[in-house]
Formats: sequence, structure tokens, C-alpha cells
Amino acid sequence: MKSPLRIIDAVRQAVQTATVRPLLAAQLQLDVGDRTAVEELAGPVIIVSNHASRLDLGVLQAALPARHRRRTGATVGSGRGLDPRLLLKAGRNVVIFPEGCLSTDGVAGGFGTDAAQLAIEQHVPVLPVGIRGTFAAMPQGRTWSFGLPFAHNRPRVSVRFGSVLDAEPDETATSFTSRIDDAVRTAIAEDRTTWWQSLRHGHDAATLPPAGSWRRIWDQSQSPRPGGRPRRPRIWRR
Amino acid sequence: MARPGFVLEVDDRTPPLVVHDGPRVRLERFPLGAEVIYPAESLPALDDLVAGIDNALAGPVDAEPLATKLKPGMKLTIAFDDVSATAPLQSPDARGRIIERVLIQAAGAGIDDVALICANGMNRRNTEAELRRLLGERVFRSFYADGRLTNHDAEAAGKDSGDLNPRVAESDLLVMVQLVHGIGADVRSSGLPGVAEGLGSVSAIRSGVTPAGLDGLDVFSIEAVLDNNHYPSAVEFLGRREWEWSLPSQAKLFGVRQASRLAPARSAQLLSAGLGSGYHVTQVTAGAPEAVAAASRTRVVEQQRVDVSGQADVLVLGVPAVTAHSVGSVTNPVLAAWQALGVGYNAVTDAALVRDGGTVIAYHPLSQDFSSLHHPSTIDFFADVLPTSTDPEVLAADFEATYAEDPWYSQLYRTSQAFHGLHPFQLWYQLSAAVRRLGDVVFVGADRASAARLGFRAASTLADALEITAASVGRTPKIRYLHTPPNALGAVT
Repeated sequence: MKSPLRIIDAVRQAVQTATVRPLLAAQLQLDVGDRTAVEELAGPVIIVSNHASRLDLGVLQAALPARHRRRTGATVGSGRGLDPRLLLKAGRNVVIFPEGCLSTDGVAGGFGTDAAQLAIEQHVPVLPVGIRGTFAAMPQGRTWSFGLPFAHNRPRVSVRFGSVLDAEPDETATSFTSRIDDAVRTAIAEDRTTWWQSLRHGHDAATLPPAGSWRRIWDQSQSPRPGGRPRRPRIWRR
Repeated sequence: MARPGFVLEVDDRTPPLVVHDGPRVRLERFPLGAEVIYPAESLPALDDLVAGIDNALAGPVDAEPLATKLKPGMKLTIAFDDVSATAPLQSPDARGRIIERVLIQAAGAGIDDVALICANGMNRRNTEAELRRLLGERVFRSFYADGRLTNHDAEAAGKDSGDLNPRVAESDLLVMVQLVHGIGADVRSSGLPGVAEGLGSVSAIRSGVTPAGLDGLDVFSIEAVLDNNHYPSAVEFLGRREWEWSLPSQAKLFGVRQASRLAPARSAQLLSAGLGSGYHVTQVTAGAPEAVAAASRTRVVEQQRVDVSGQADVLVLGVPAVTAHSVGSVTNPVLAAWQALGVGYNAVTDAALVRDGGTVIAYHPLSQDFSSLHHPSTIDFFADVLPTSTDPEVLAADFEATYAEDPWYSQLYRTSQAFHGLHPFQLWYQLSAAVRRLGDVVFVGADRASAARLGFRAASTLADALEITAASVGRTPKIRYLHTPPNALGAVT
């Protein structure tokens, strides 16, 4: 008799493979960065990401390698889902969005300390992930508008994994949270500029328009282009 | 426990053995008493490649750790060997990993002026796709658009940059990243000779003289030695002994042979490059070029050495579908001959596997297929130069200068994906050194006109080839078959 968790896993896997993942593949252009940091992980990990759209969880699960996708449990937030401590003890990964709620302008807001607290208590590492482009694809309050499958101009979503973070001994949740915050923003900057720029300058490499300005919404609601590509002049305008 | 290479003596229980005949895969029955040199199995790979790289960078041989050499505001150049003359690309490639670790240290040290150069020497430029696969998406995207990731142009290097690439000549530190999977002519040399070969000017590479610019240059070498898993996992049975094949492997071989019969060129490309390779890294060494070269060579010999007793009268060599200089391209007759006589003949640590005056029997169709994109000068070499003479002295005196100065070849080399105009001459000199020492060279199953143009003989079967050479080596010669790839180095005792 399989444990309830294993049954839930199997059902979730089946549903995702049949519906969500083909849909995401057809409607979005998913660009996943280097996954070696993830592939080398042995035990459970807390996956932390910015939260700009309801697509984030599906995109994150599609971006993970197969072995880890099977072990990733439900999101923690607003008291829904199973207790994250139980999931971690059972060897499952847990996804947490520390912002708490969806971003209003696409840029990552302030991070809560829940994820760091959990990581310190359970002695589990944290995997920071930067997701870029889901706000432009489906911001809060909108529902998905279906385009033709595999169209050439479907919205681009980029997922970049940062290196795994471990809490130092005697580190407080606040300082760990600021490290995680830094790492997630750097992962986003890795796509917005280039990996080398994000290494050299951290997330300051990515200059964003000021908060509250129309330029910020304008910038965030466009399908994101990766940094480091020259602007190619287009001869034929579509 | 990795089994070492060994020598099999063919008896009546030996099954037909795999012989690579260009894109075709033959199963050949060897005469009784023939010796077959089997390569060794792979040594254990590093568990954690990234940790291995970091340890090597922190504890180099004969040099200070890389972190102490990196100072803010310095000019750093990272050079890496190219797609030709190296193992088939994998994703992710070990060179990309090494360069990432170096860049992480450089970023921490505050260095902004970083350039990446592909040290292709006189080989062809690498395409964007090849560079992306080699370096990984992160490194490629960070440097390519700014023009900081370039291929080396041997014609742009001259006396005013010390016969070296101009960017390398003005750098404070050159980090040379290489993948080592052999010690033959098909692999970029290690150490400072490798820097000269990969980043030197045409005159420096041609003459073999050390470029003057290397004198004051600080070079930090990083080399990763590969194991013997030449084949991708889909066809890894080809690297194992024939009598150990399982039934599925035999079925796969049937499929491979059918595919190579129907679409030889395509299936050859797929097998060798399309499916990637199964290589793993067994050792990463960093530090001063000579010490690193010595350490890598020791490891390679440890991996590939097979002890054989005495020299044979006849050496049988199979030529694989894709040679070092025909990656992403077709293997023309000159390249096939070079692979057999320049590389296969020299797959030794000391003395040759076949005695002087002996015979080499090689397998390749020698079909007159040339790539005008990659080997334009070889087309003209085969058509115009070889009918006149095959003597390397005559070629050097009468034809080499024209090919060296031809503006069209130069244009193609500098802007397109062509090998340098002098490339066929280099190949010819290397294989002529072997031909001079041999009595006969026979190609089995080859096009007669091509073989005659190259100055060799053609035979339909192995038995006919042995018949042809009976005049020089006798009716019962000692036959030796080098069962490669994966690589093996014969150590004649």
C-alpha cells in the first residue's frame, strides 16, 4: 500500500504530464538556464522564487529536471497545501514564494522570512530561482488568452537557477533572507543582462525603471529578451 | 576495476571483429595467428568535476594558485582548444565548466577586461553553434555579442605581436584550457607548444619555431584528461570486446550497419558528433604549462598504454568516419590517408607497431568527396598538386608558397569556415614521414583512382591486400590489427 504522499505524487505527475506541461510548451517559449546546480542535489531542498503570475508554479515545475520534478511538493502559502515540515521530512522539495502575494508591477517585492526560517529549522538548503517573463505573459487579474500553439512569437519565459544556499551556523532568518533575496535578484539579472555581468555586479547590473513609473510597467509587460544579444535589424516587419 | 588493454591472438573461436571503414562498419575475419590490440577500459572518472576543477585551481603544479594571480584591472585572456583536434562535444562540455570556474574567480577579483579566444591555429573557425555548445549558454551569451569571444586568426598575428595573437600578446595573464584525449598528431599539443600551435602566426606554426611573444607571457595551463569512453551511450557496445556483446547490442549493430549503408555520410555524422560522446574527465591539472603537460601525458599513457611484443610485418588500421579535421564535414581521401598514416601509425609511445619496410593495410572507401566549405585548398591540392608529385620535398619547393599566399584561401580562412591554405601540406608532410619508412600501403575497399593519386594501392578484400604485399613481407607475415577507436597506444617491448 503506497503512502498517501506517493499516491498524490503519482496523480500530480500524471495530470501535469497530460495537461499542464504540453500546454506550457505550446503557449510559452520556456528558456531554462544551467541546471547542474539542481541536478547535483541529493536531499530535499526549499525552492524559492519571485512571484509575478499564477503561471510561476507550473513554469518552475516544467523547468526542473525530471528527477526533482517528481519530488517537488505543493506550494506553501496562505495555509493551503500540506505542512511543509512534513513534506521536507518525507524527502520532498517545497516551493515557497517569499513575497507572499503576486507582484503588482512585475518586479520582485520584499521577501518574507518564512522560507529562511524553515530552512534554518529543518537544516535544509535553499535553491534560489529567478523567473522572468510570467508577468508579461499573464499578470494578476488576467486569464490566459490562448494563441496558436508553437507560434513564433509566443511569450518568452526565462528560468535561471542560482547556486544552492546553506544557512550559516547561528545565522538569523533576517540575514539569510537578505542573502536569498540577493540570489533571486541576481538570477533574474542573469537573464536580463548576462551571466558575467551578474557575477561582476550582482543584481545592480540590471537597472530597472523607478517604481511607480509607467516605464516600469511598460518594461515588465513586454516579453523579455535575454541580455547579451545584439539588436539585429529586421528587414521584414511582421 | 578497469581492465587494461591487451593483445588477442586470433584463433578459430574468434568472431568477426569490428573494423571501421570510413562511414561503414565492417565485420572482418582475421587470419589465424593475427594479433589484435584492444584498448583499455576507462579509468575511474572524477565524481565531482566542479570540485576537481576548483581543487586544481587552488593547488596548481609549479605555480601559484590562480586566485593570487588575478588582480583587479588586469587584462585576462582565456584560450581554449577548438572543435577540430579534440573529442566530440558534449553538453555540458568540460572546457565550458573549467572556464566558468575561472570566470567566477575573475569576477571575484574584480577583473573586467576579459577576452575568450578559441585557439584554432590553422584549423577552421568555429561556428556560433559549436562555440555555444562548447562553452555553455552562460559564458557564450556573456561574451559573444560584445566581440570578446573570437576565433584565432593566424594571418593577423605577425612580427609586431611577437608571432602571437595580438590580444594574447598584450595580456597580463593567459589561461589555456585544454581537453586531452591522446598524444598523437590529431590532438592539440599540451604546454607551450600547444599555445604556439593554437595562437601563433602562420610562419610560427609552419616553421615550428617558438613565437617570440611567449617569452614574457604569463601562461596558466588547465588540462582535463578524458577517459576512453569514446562512443555515446547509445552505441557504447562498439567500444567493448565483440564476444561480450549482448543480443540487443548485436541488434543495434545490425541497425547501425544498415543505416550506414543507406545514408553513409549522415549516419557517420550522427554517430560521431550528433549523439555527443560518452567521455568523462579523469583528471584535472592546473599550473605551469610544462608540468601540466607532463602530468596529462602520464595520465593519458596510463589510460591508453597496451604492451605489445616486437614489431609486426603488417599493420591493419581502420579509419573512422569522422577524423579530427572533418568534424561537421566529410572525410576526403587526403584526410583519410592522414588518419591512417599520420595518426594510426603513430599511436605508439616509442617504436612503431610495424617494422620499417613493412606494410600498412587501411580501410577507407577514399571516395572523392570534398567539402568546399571546410577544405577548399584540399580540393585543389588533390586535383592539381598530387598528380604532379607525391614527394614532400617537391611539394614544399614548388607548390607550398602559392598556397600560403593565395588570397582566396586566406579570405575563406579568415571569414568563413575553411582550413588554412597550407592545411593539406601539413597533413601530407605528417603522413609522408610514415610512408617513407613503410614498404607498401594498401587501402581495402577503396576507389582505385583515389588510391593511385595518393600513391597507394587498392585491394577489394583483406586477403587480396595480403596477396599484393606478399612480395615484400612474405606469405605468412605477422599481422597486427589496432582495434581503435577508443584510443590505444602501443608500447613495443
